[in-house]
Amino acid sequence: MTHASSQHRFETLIARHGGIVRKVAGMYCAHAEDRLDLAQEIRAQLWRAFGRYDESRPFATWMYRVALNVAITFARRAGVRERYTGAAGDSAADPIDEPQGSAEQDERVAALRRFIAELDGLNRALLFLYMEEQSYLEIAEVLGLSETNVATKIHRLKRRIQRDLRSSELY
Amino acid sequence: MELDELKSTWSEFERRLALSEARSDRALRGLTLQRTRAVLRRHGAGLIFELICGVIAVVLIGSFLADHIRVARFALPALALHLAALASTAAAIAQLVGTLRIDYAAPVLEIQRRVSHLRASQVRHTQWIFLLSPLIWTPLAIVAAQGFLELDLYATLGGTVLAVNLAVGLAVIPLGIFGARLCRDQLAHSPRLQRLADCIAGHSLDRALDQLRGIERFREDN
Repeated sequence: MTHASSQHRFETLIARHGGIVRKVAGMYCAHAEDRLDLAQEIRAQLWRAFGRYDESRPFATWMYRVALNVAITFARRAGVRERYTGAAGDSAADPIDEPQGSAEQDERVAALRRFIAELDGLNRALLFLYMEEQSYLEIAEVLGLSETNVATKIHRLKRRIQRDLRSSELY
Repeated sequence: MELDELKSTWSEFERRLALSEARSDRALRGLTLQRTRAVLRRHGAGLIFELICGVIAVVLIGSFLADHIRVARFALPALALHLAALASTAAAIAQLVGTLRIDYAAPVLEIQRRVSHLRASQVRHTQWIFLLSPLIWTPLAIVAAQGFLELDLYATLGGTVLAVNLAVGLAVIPLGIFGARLCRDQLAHSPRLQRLADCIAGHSLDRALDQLRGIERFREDN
């Protein structure tokens, strides 16, 4: 494949699956600035790894792996971590924090973000893949765990959500 | 509440993320590959600069060592410096190779374990450089004065002054660790200095090792 056709193919696939980059960045960074930096870094690493992508395998699975690996590594850097653990809603210009629907819906989004902020990087990846409606087998492939282990962890995560979000009386 | 019920909130979160990205000019610029390539170029340039500096130091000190191999008072400090420069350059090469070998398309746990190992070795490398730098100062002054100015510091300052310098350098190491622990909170205004203090005090290494343990727990916890 020539450089130009490889670039075209890459851009087409990224445009088709662009939501993955945005959502992964949203999982790992609370602030709009950090989300943009992370999204850019994910795209950079996707392009770098694209030459080794095996087209016989699903693109989305490959993209989840790259995006989550980059995001977990990025979020561990001290600056981002400190900003992440700060208040999620202190960026006035960020549309995520602006009132947009009913007060209840706004509070539900805020509660979800608080819940995400309390999870470590690996559990965030697990929650994200579950929310993306990936099967246990697919989650196991992305994370490098057994299917049984994924099932156990998802079960625990559900219980934790029940406990933590029910206490906010929103669900 | 079941996790499934959370999915409508997740959809709303997704919608808001898309809105946030669309509102940003930076995001639109970031969608082009040119910006992406610029990030990669900057990454590579930093690592290459570090390596070039290391290689220059090894060559210069090696050349001085060859010229003064029969003069023990110059050969010994030059040998110490040469070994330190070699070790540091070798560690930098190992980190560069380790970083380049990371294939982010591999399973998350495998890559996170490798990244954490790499981080721990980077922290150790930086910690050793800062802790040993007070000891390097005296041999560096001897070699640089002789190499660049043909000035024999043994004759100019006397062996006792140089020995005292070396002893002070040795005493500075535990003081440096103590000072870094003490000053860490006072450096809140500068994250870069705070990171350096954390590294010297050993907090960064503790964190890197904690991350490794966390990954192992996640893998084994069934």
